[in-house]
Amino acid sequence: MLLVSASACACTPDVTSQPGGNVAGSPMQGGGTGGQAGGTGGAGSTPQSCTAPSPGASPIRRLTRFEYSNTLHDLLGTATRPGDALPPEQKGNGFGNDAASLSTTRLLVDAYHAQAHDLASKVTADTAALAKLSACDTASQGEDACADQFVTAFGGKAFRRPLEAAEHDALLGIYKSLRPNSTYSSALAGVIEAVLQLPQFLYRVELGTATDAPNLSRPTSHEMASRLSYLLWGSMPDQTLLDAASSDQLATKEQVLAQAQRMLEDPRAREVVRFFHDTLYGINGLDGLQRDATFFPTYTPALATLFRQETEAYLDSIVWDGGGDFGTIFTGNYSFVNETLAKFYGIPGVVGDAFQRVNLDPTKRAGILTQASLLTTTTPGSHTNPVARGKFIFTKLLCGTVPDPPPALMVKEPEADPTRTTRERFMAHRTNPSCAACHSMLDGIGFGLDHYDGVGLWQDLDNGKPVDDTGNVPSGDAAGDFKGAVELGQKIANSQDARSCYVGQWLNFAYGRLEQAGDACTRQQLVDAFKSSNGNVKQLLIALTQTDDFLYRPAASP
Amino acid sequence: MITSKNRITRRTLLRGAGGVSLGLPFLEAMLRPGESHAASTVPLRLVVFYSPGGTLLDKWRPSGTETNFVLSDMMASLNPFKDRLMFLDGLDMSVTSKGVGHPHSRGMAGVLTGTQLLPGDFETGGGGASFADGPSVDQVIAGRVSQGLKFPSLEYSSGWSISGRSAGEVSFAADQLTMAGSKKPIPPQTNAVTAFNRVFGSLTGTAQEQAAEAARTKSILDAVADQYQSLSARLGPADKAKLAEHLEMVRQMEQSLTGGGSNASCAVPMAPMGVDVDPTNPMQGGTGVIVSATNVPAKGKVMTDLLVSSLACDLTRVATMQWADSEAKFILNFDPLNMPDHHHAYQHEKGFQPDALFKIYQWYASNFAYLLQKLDSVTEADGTTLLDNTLVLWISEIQKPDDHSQTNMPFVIAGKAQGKVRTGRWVKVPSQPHNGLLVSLLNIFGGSETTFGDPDFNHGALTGLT
Repeated sequence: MLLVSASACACTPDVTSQPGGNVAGSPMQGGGTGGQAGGTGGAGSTPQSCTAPSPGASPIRRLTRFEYSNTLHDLLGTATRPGDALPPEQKGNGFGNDAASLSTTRLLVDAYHAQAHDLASKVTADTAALAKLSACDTASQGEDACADQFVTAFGGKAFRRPLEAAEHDALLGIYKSLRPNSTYSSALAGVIEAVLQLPQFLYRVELGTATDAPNLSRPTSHEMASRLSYLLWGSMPDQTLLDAASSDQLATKEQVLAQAQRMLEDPRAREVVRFFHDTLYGINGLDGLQRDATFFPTYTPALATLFRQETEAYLDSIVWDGGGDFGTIFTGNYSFVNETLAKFYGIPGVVGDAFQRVNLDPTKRAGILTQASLLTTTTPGSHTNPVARGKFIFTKLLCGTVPDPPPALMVKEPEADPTRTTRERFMAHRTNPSCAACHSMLDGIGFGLDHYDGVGLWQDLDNGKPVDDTGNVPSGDAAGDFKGAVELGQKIANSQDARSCYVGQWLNFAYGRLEQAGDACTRQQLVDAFKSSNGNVKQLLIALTQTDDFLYRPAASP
Repeated sequence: MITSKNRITRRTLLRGAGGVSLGLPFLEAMLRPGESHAASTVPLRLVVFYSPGGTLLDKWRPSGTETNFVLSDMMASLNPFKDRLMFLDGLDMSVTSKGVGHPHSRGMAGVLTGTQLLPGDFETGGGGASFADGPSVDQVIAGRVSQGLKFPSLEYSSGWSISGRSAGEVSFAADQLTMAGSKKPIPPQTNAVTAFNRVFGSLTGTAQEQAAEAARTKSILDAVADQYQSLSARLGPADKAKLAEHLEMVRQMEQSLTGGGSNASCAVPMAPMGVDVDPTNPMQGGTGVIVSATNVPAKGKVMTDLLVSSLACDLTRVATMQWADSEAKFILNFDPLNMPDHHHAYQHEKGFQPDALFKIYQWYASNFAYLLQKLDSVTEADGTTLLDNTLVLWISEIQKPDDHSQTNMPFVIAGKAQGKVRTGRWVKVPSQPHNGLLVSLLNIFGGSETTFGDPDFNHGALTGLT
């Protein structure tokens, strides 16, 4: 007996193509925007009117650890990643930037304080670094005048907008109160230490500016500069954006578009897209992975980092180097490996530490589903697990929803058995009717990947028996039988559900929340844009800056 | 016992391995206004000790009678503390019959809160989950007994394979024990150096320098607090609430600059070195990936030392020590275990392997014994030990390693809690929800609650602890 069920597991497979669709009681459940079982990717139920802008909630957003590190790099030149020393975010929408789900702990506030103190001391101890923040000759201009200039320059950069008079006075007040008992640079350090703990720095605060419509406002030009920079760079605005904001050149859709196009050429945009995919595909924590050497004798923990880097290089080439479209993510018969990784895979002729493009056996390898990163991260231990792999593909790539097993269910995974294949071990999921209802949905996908072991190596035999890699996708427009991961990749590449799912995940990430029923117009706009660009990820990023959600905000109701 | 050279007195200046020195102003700062060393009474503390994956119940149980019992081989390392132990045998974690997620995550959510795991977007083996639906008992107690101290509570985890420090990481429902409130997790600190610096690291320099530093920090934080307040006035209610929560923590931190208690038993541990893994070496939640953990034993001891010192110095009165996250998917390739796979693999991934599990639970028992020994080595102002003035609660998130059932949970209480519990006993409790135990803890720490957590599982306080 593999599962002991207290009650039947009444399962209805459902593809909504909305990330987060598995959240019971989430606002979208009753919103009518999700597809039905085997649905149409959320595209079939556009609400009556998408003409008047109706932006979703726009709460203050705390910088994520990723954004905090990036911002300090751009603000102070900090080369380390101080965000890594902050406690982890609550996951919320999956990306840790879901404003509604984040709470503030004493631990976090202590960590902000410790970082602010350290960074302020370091930067003020470095004359060159300090001069970069505000060059001023105290000898000729006087300390107080220089401090005043410093507050204006540094405060404005840190707040991502010019300081208001009261804010300026408050920051200068810190300098003035500290100066009698400390050196000039130490008094400035106090200003920096304060600024790095202020809500204007740690949060993206928007007060908005009125429009003609009563319930609608739009971000000010400076607020728009931050919207753009945090979406496309995961960091603070550059001087070009701040200059554009100062002359109110970020007020129209076209002006925003022009900046977005410029910004995508900056390397920082690559980091954001990488962060998005690493998080979405769950490969950002692979580094240092250990495996039981008796099961995986050629694997070493150092390989895990290479697994991640392979997928990053592959996705980089698709998104940035004209290597392909969304579909290519799941179909390319090539990848990027260095010598160590090539040896692990058994690919001949690769020399050196640098990653290089190699062609792969098209019957065995195609896209990320066949890369060691994903195959490993979806394996919970020494044995491959079709439930974990199937669930990842069904929920993360197709936005399918799977009901939870009833709480009283005693979940027990099938025991290891050297005489049976993975499929045979998990087959009881099919023979026990109370399990089959749910597990036929997940295991059916996962079985199709049985040619890849727990670290992604190809296996012809599983425990001495030939692998049967026939599989089945239970619902949605990718529904049906398939044979092996290469065919499954084709199915996903051709699936509108998968594209709609991917768009929704970008929507959640970009707007820092979980998609809601009211987002239907925005979603449709993005899905259409993604379709008309033939699944071009860069164009999707641009499209994210052109929605009503991005260009407007609800009028504040204090 | 703490050696005299390690003890802080009003005349000593202690210098630790990390070059940290503590001087007079720190000691003065640890006194509440108007309080003198002689006048202070010894406070009651709470320590929660968590080990993952339940136990082997038949090997966990002593043999004999309630007051005349013999510890099993698996628990033998606790023999020196037998008279200060209470085995609570029979409580069910009934609240885990509700909620989403798999048994590990439901258990983590429920064990200290008595509430169910709420739905959300975390991937768990059993579906999307968020966090527990209420505060954990340790946090309610912290709000009561740690008022005015440097920290309301401290939370550490030595073997945290799920939530590390990489930028892509997110905290993970399946491993969250301590909660400030519904869906408000307090993640444990997983880095020993950061943890040390947070508690003792800033207290360097001469007396005058420390006083000046505190005054400087206070003036900076005053200005910071002002900005939270003035900005908040211009925002809508939801944003206002977020900034209010942040401001409250800034204020608490500010108060902690001068907060503290008696230093009679205060000794500072060595600054930890070489026990943290590479910060780029964590793992991603929900995927069950294994990470290196050869440092876990050393780090666990360092964190235990730090925790005990923080209690001894009365910087806080509530602490939680997790030796792992619930699935504990780090390879146990360190002394004394030297096993090729992780704890959970022996629970059921590789089939139920009781011999391997015996060794693992034996090791956790020895870590529990280490905590008790450290607490017992601190002498308080009145000659009692810190262990005499502490209630230590040993918890896990499930009972049975293989099928993860959550009846007859293996709770152990240790320490005399100033006589508020009657130890030296193996107490067989009739089957009932564990919420009653949580109510009793609240009562022991001065509360008059009759319920805690989910009302469906509340039958009043657990009787028979005294």
